[in-house]
Amino acid sequence: MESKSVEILLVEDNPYEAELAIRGLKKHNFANNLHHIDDGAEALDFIFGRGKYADHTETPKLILLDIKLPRIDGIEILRQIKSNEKTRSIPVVVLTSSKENQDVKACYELGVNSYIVKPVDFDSFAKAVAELGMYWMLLNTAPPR
Amino acid sequence: MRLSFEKVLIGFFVFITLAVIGLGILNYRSNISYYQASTAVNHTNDVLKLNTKTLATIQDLTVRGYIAGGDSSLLPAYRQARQNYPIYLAQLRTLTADNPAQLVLIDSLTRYTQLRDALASRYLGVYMAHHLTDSVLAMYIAASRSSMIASRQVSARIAANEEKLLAERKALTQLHHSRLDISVALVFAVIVVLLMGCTVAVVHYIRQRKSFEKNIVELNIDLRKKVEELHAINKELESFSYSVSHDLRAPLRIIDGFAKIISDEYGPALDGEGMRFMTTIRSNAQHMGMLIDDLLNFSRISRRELVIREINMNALVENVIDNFRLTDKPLAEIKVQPLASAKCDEHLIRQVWINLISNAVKYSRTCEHPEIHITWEQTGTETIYTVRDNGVGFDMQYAAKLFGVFQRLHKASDYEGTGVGLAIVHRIVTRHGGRVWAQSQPGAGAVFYFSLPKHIN
Repeated sequence: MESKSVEILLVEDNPYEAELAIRGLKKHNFANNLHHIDDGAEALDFIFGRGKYADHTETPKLILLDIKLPRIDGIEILRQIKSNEKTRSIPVVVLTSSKENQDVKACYELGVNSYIVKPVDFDSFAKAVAELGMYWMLLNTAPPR
Repeated sequence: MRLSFEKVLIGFFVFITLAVIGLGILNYRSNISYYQASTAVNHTNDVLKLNTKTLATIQDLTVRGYIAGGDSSLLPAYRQARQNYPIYLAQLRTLTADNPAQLVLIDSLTRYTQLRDALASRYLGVYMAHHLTDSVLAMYIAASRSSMIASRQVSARIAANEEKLLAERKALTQLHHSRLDISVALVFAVIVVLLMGCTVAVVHYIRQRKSFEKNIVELNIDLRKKVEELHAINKELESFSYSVSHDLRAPLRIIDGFAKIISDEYGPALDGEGMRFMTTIRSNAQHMGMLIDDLLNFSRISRRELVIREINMNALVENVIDNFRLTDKPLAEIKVQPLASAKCDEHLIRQVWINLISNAVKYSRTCEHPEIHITWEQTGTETIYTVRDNGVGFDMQYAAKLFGVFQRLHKASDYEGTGVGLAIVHRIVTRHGGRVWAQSQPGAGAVFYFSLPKHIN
């Protein structure tokens, strides 16, 4: 997988939530370009090409980030992404359980680009992508069944 | 303890005041007595001096030197004495007028002196007319001497009497003097006691003050600790709410999500009953999500800080109703009386109106002509707002349950909802220091009242 160009990085520790999201995106042919990581520290290694991802130099085009994660939480990951020259321009979409969540505010202060209220389905994903002006990402999308 | 100390202090000052007044009177009287006694001593001294002078004058009342030796230089002293003695004796009588014993003695002295005077003038007359023989001269001398001796004796008795009086008066003066000393000493003693009393009082009050200050500092420290504890508890509660919203809702989302996948993708493989079960699973998962959301809302409202401002109730209520009209289907006819403004938290009171009006709409929707009336009235201390509907109403027997969390008086199948709306109303109004209550009869509509106090802290 490392050799392939990754367009979307999904950082989500709950396997069922991840499955729902991947399933929603798979129907629209996004899963091929999607890499799922369920751990905060590993996600950082992936993004910055460290540890077991040392030979992975390409950064993802879009990051879907859960806030509550083991070891290193989403807010810390967001802080590191947005404070690094190399990764600052990667759009980050936060996955939240409620739009009234205090964390959404904190994320906006750190420079998050958008958020999606869970469960992540294709519609909310498409809305977030549209918000970011990344229409090319939807271009290779197959029409829904 | 403090009261009794104050009583003692008041008693002390009353005592000091009385003591100062008493001592003042005593001092004044001692002073007068001392003055009188010293005057009496001086008087006695005057009498003694006069007595001596009088005796000397009587001594001079003789013509012996002249008759015997023809020395005329002695005559002026005789003449002077003759002129003076009645004056002196009269003065002596005046000075001792208050002493009968002395007056008697002065009378004798006067008689002896007059005798001596008479002798002198008679023998002087005889001497002027004839030359005196020695025998006649000797007779005069003897008579004059004996009158002198008698006068001296009387004078000595007068002096002795006065000396005795002087001694008595001196003793009295001494007594009054020492009394005066004592009263002055007492005045000083009272001043010292007064100063000591003041010192004790001041020290007591300073100590008391210090202990109060210490108490206040301790209380403040306690209070700060309590506030910190409260903050910690609040933080814990927030993180608890967070875990509730995050962790408790996640499984529900997943249940709903997978149930949706089954409905969407495996729907054709299921029969009608199977699909109904899927729908039941989904609607219940969603309902539980709503319950959790409402509960979170309820707890958020309880913790939110009040922002009190003067609020135009009519504008607020009209805005709430407009929003209903925008989002909901055509609803009941809502009539709003011109409402009094009130001091309250706009955001929270808006929630009260939303909940009460949406309840009124919900429970009157089965009516033929649903009508909602919003009115108000003023009492001495509060403003009461009323929402009246003509809906299904409820049995007052269950009124106590109305404002409890998750308490419902109607079946969920008849009227949707989680049973948190009125609990939120109750919490918000209570936090404003107001009251909320209801009146109803089954089938006869319901009236909900909430009051806001005129003065909110």
